[in-house]
Amino acid sequence: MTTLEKLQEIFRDVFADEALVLNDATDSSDIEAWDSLAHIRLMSVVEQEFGVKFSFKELSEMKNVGALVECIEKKL
Amino acid sequence: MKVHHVGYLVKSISKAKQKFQKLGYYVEHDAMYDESRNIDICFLRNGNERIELVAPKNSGDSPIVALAKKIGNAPYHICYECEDIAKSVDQMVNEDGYMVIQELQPAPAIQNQLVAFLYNVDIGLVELVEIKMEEKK
Repeated sequence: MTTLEKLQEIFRDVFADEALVLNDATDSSDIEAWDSLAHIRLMSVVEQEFGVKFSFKELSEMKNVGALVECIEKKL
Repeated sequence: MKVHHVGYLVKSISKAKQKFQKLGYYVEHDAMYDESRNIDICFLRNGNERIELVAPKNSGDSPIVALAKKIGNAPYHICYECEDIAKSVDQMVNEDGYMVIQELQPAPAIQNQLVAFLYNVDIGLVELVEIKMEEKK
């Protein structure tokens, strides 16, 4: 399973939307429920599922799914 | 860790304050504006218990504004005291699975003591405040 596929499973679970399909360009404007509060929960689940840690700077600078994939893969 | 206060989100500090006063609370620090977080804050006491009323200004997409819209008037975090906040944050992040969502900064409403906010998916939002041993006496 690729990082993007695993992320898609996480996003579907967090946002309770089984039809959600991610690509590198997906950002918060594409998912209505992805506000700053949901971002915190999402990133916390991502940390737990991938066994990685994000810095405060990384958390605030990740603008789309592609950036998230890149950040995770650097840490694995 | 000793509980310092319970954070309570409210739309109106003055209305919430009146209700809590009827429940036996008194004002410890009256309402003040925290510019760095764009919120009004007021501390109330009832015996050993302390409540922090927090009224966010409704502007921008901050987590606290989003939370206020979602839960309305309700408790939303517990703040714990620690003696060395940098050490406690490090331990909670690296050993206990917390994520820092607001880095160390002085809190004007608590005599500029250092505070930090952390999040864990299992228990939500936690605040830490640094209270040195000599300040407890």
